[in-house]
Amino acid sequence: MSDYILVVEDDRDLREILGEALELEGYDVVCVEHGAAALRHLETGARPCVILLDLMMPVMDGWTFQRAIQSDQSLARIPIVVMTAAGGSRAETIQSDATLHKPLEIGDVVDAVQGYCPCREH
Amino acid sequence: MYGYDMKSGQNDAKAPESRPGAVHGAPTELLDLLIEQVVDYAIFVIDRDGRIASWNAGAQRIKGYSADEIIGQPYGVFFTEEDRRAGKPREILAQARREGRYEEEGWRVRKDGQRFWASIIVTALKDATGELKGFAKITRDLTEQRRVDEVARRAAEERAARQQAELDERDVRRSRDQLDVILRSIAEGVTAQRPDGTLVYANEAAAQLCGFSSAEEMLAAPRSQILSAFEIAHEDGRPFPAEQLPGRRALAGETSTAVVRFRSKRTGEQRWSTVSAAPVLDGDGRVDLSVSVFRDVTERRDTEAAWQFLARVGEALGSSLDVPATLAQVTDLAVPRIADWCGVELLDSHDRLEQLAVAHVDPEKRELAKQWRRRWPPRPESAPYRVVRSGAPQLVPEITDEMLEKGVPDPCERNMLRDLGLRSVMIVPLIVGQKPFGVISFATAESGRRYGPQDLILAMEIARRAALAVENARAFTEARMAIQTRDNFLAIASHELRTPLSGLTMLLTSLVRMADTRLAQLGPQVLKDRLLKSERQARQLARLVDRLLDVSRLSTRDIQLERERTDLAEIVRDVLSRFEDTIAEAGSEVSLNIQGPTEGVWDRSRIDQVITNLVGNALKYGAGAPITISVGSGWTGQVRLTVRDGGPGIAPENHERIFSQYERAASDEYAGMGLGLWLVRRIVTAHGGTVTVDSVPDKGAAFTVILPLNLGAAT
Repeated sequence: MSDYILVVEDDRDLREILGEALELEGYDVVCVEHGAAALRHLETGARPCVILLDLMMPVMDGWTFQRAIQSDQSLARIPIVVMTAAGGSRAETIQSDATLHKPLEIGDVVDAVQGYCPCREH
Repeated sequence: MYGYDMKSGQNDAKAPESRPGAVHGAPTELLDLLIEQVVDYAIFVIDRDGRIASWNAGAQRIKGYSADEIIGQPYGVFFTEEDRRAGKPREILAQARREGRYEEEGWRVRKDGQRFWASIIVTALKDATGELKGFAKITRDLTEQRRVDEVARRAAEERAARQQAELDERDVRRSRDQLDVILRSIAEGVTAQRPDGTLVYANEAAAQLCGFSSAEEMLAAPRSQILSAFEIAHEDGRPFPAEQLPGRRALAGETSTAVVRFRSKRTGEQRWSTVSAAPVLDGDGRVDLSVSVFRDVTERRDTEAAWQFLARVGEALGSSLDVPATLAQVTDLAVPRIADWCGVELLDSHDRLEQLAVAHVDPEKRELAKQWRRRWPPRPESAPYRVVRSGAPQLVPEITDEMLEKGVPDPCERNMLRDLGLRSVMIVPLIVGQKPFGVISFATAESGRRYGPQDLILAMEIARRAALAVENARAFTEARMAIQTRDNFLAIASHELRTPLSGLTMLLTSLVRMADTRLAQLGPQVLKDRLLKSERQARQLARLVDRLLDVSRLSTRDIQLERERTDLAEIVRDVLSRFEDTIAEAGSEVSLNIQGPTEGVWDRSRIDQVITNLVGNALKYGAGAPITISVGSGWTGQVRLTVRDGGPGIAPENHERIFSQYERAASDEYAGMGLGLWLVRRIVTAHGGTVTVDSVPDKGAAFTVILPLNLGAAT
């Protein structure tokens, strides 16, 4: 398993901000804009240490993406941290290792991912 | 005159001249003759010893003795045995001696032993010195008079008795009249029957209950005719044996009460009565009369039944918000309780009555009714349409053949209606607010029942409740949709707001986290970049808040347009220039075709919103595929704008839905509030224009806006 974080978020600004913030915190980050792009990324054989997954996205939403990787044994083991703005119930229908509620706090994001990912040396 | 000399007391009638003070010559003789011959009075002399001393014709006639037989006999022979034993003869003479005379009426006895009623006067005869010489006795036979008196007395008594009887009878008659008035004026029917079944009394109420026009008519009717005019049943419909009726049981000496249903065989009308009956006994304790009291409880029963029915209708109507199912339940409840047939027809979107439900106890007949309606839908001039148009209910107590002839032109339909045997019908409107939206029809056939004004009131109440239930269901659906809409709005709005808020918070917190340690490492360029991004997030937030406020305002009131002369092509160019970055990012090639004049009088900023939404959608859904925008004059006085994308397209069933509030072309897959197209339609419609979509799945979508130029309205 590699030592980078895969960020799946459709909002361009948030995607960039999140990527930069995590890099500043000392993580390697790869950002994609929806579930389909994330699957394409994983099909190359790349294996992030954790996936930060938004739920409501065009083309392929978080739920569909999660179901897709659950069916693949090698991908099913990758921890998923869900980032959701959805109010309550729908977010609970997804299997994940942790859930972050928007608006996000970088401290919470770091807390959620640090157990799965090694930090780069500064 | 025989024997006794009245003056001397001597038995010598031949010395009249020697009598002192005597009437001279002829008068004395005449007097003697008078006494001798008087036949109406017994006049004779009794000597001092009480023996008879003289006798006259009257005495002989009255007493029956001849002078020879009686002279010298004690006068007591004339007395009754009892009087003699009591010493009455002596007593009378003693009294006459003392007082000069004695007078009485009493029973005496004739020679033959026959008694007669006599009036007697005994006078003491004394000489000048006052010495008693004897007694004069005058007896008159009063038997005849007494008989006459007796007859007169009896006559008087009879007269008096008769008068009394008349008085008594008048009293009785008065009491009877009073009783009759009372019995006439009470609502209960009262009858009295002899043990042989003869009806001896019936008041008007009883006559009415039994279908007679008057009590006299009922009393005159043969007994068999009275009961055989009805089918008699228990409350639950079981036949009621006539011999168990309270009136019959009273003839056997029992007092009883029963609730009985009388159904007229002639009119089919049915009425319920509480019947109480009691026996009236004669002096020997035998049943003389059976008195029955009928209380008509039909109205009360009908009211009770109506309330029970309405309660059940209410229950049924309240149990479901599915309007057609609910109305069908009402028809099922109505049969057979208040109708043999019940149907509901509702106006469809073309204002045509459509049969929604029909009920009949017999499923075959139900089919027949459905066939009838399929084959002959109600004609526009028919009763259901009249009711639904006017909102006024219709009651036909009796459907006659004439009505069918007149109202139903098709003879085949007439035959079918005759087969259905409809007898009485009520059609009531279903009204919510002002406008009727359907009718409920109730009809009778087999039961032979006739509807009256009371039934119509019940029917209207049923319709009122049914309509109210429909209204409730509609209101409930609307309320539920409003809640759903609000929830959607909140969910989408919070999602939309949270994303830029996340970015903003993240930027700021990461800056704070860096501030102490590594800010210097990053350098001013990175810092500025972060701050600019923060600013953009804040602006994005502000824009979203504005949009939400705008939408919320437009949801509740009309759009206020600020019209000005505007070039549509120019607005399109402005929008495209604002989207430059997005277009580049989406990788879509955008082409713009402008033909002819594109100027009109519109609200510039609102039209800008329309184009922004359409182009934004095209870029969002059709990223990577070419986008074509055409602007050109359409029909005279119009301008047409079409935005065509190469996105996933929209299924035909969603073409209308996407213009609703909070609806998106493909829910959840694409972020966004689902307000864009709703807003587009609102704005275009406010300008008097139209917006339509033309799309098939996987072939992209083309949105076309047509706006009237409104040049005449230029300001």
